[in-house]
Amino acid sequence: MTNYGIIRRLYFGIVILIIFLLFALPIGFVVWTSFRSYGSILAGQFTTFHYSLENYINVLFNPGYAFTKGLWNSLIASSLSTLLAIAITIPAAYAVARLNTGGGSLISFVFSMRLLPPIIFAVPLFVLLNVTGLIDNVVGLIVIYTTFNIPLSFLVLRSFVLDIPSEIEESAMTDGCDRFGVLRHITLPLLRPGLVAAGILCFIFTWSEYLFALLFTIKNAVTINVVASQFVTQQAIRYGEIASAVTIGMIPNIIFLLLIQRYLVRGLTMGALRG
Amino acid sequence: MRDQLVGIILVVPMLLTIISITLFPLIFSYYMSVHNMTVLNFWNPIFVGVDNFVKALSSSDFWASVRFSVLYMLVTASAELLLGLFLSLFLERTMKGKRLVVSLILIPMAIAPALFGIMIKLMLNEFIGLIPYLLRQIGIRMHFFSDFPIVFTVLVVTDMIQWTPFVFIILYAALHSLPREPIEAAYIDGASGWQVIRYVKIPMLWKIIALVTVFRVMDALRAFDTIYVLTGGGPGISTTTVSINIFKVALIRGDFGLAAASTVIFFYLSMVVLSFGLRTLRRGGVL
Repeated sequence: MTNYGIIRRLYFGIVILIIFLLFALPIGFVVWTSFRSYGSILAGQFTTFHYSLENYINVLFNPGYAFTKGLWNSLIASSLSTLLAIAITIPAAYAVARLNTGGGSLISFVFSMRLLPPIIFAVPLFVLLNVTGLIDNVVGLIVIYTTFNIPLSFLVLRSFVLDIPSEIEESAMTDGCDRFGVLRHITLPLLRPGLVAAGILCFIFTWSEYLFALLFTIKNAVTINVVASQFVTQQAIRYGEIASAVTIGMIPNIIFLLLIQRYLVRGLTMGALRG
Repeated sequence: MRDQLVGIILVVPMLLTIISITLFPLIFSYYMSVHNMTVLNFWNPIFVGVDNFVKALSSSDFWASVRFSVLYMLVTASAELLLGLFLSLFLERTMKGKRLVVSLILIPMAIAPALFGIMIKLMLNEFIGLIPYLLRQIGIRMHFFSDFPIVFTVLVVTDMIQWTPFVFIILYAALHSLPREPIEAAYIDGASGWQVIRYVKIPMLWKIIALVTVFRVMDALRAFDTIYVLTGGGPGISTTTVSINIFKVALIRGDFGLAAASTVIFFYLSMVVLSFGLRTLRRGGVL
C-alpha cells in the first residue's frame, strides 16, 4: 500500500472513531450506568461492573418516585395531542394543497409559528391556565401541545397530499362526488403513510417538550422530562435511578425515529424538502 | 367560488385553534406588560403604562441574556453547519455499514433535550462521570460548571452532539439527490475532489443550506432545555438565555408584568431574525 493509501485509511478510521465517541458514547454510558448496582456506581471504579436491575425496579415500582406518573402523563399528553392535531389538520392540509386556500401567506404564518421561540407564548399561557384552573392538569397540556403540533402536522400532511396525483380525485368528482366525499373516500385512504409519518413526528416532539411541561405542571400533570430533571436535584446521589429514568424516557423516541427515517427529512424541514 | 367556501370551512378548525391558543395569548401579553402583575396582586393588576418596558430595557440581566443568546446562537449554528456539512460529505462514499453509522448519528436528535442534558451531566459528574474519570487517569482534575469558558464549551458541545444530526441528515439526503452530470463533468475536466465540493456541490446545495441555517438559528435562539438542566443559567447568570431569563422572572420572581414586557421585546427581536431568514428563503425559492 502506498503512503497516500495509509493516510487515507487513517483519516477514515479517525473520523469514524470521532463519530462513535461523539454520538454514541454519552448514550452508551447512560445505558451502562443504568444497569450497574448502587455500590458499583458509588465505588467510582469503571473496571468493575455488577449487573443489576435494581435501578429500574426502584424507578418503576418504588412509590416514593413519581416516575410512573410522569411516564403515564407523557404518554396521554403526547398521544392525545398528536391525534387531535392530526384530526384538525387533515382538512386544512387538504384545502391548502388542493384548493390553495389562504395561499402562501397561510403557509408562512404556520411556518413562523414553528420557528418562533415558545417562551413568547409561555407567560400569557401560564396566566390564562391559572385563570381557567387548567394549571397542573393534563387537559391543559393536551390543549397546548395540540396547538403546537399543528404546524408540523399541517405542513407535513400538506406535502403528502401534494404527492397524491390529483387525477384520481378529479375522476371521482366527475362521477358526482363532492369535495368532502373526495377527502373522505379518496384522499384519506391514500394519505395513510402521511398520517403515520406526521403522527410519529408529532409524538416525538411532544414527548421531548420540556419548557411548557416545566411551567404548567406542579405535581399531578408532571411529564417524564420534568420528573427526570427533578431526580437530578432531589435524588442527587441516586445516579443509577437517574440513568434508568433517562434510558426509559429515550426508548420510545429512538424506536420511532428509526421507524420513520424515510420521512425524517420531510418532517424536520416541515415538508419543505421531500428527502 | 364553491371551492373557496369549502376551503375556508376546512381550514377554520385549525385557524380557530391557533388563534385561541397562540394569537390570543400573544395579545394578552400586551395587556399584562402594561400592568403591575405579580403573584401578590394577580387578580387586581394595576395599570402602570410603560414601566415594565423601561424596567426590562434598563435591566442589565435582560441584556446579558440577549447577548448570551446571540453568542450561543452564532457559535452553535455555525459549528453545527460546518460539522454537519463535513459529515454529510464524508459519508457520501460507499462503505460497509454506512446505514448503521447514519442511524447512529441520528439517535441523539431523537432524545428529549432535557434528558440529553441529564445524560451529559452524568457523563461529567465528578464522582461517577466517565470524562472526569478519564481525565483523572492522566492527572487532570477539573470542574465543568464553574468557569464560563469551560461551561460554555460544554453547552456548545452538548448542543452540537444533539443538533449536528439535524444538519447532517438534511444535507446528506440533499447530496444524494444532486444531479450527477455536473459533478462527473467537473471530474472529467480535471477538478480535484476538494474543487468539486467547493465549486460544484456546495453551490448546488446553497438553498438547502439556507433552509437548514434558518432552522438552526431559530432553534438556538429559543435555547432553554439542555442549558436549564445543565447549568440552570449559571454560574451567576452567565449562561442565562432569554428564555431562561423570562422563565425565571415569571416563575421564580413571580413578576408577570415584567416577564410579559420581556416577552414582547423578545417577540420583536425574534421577528427581526425570522423575517430576515424567511425573506432569504423566499428569494431563493425554497418557500
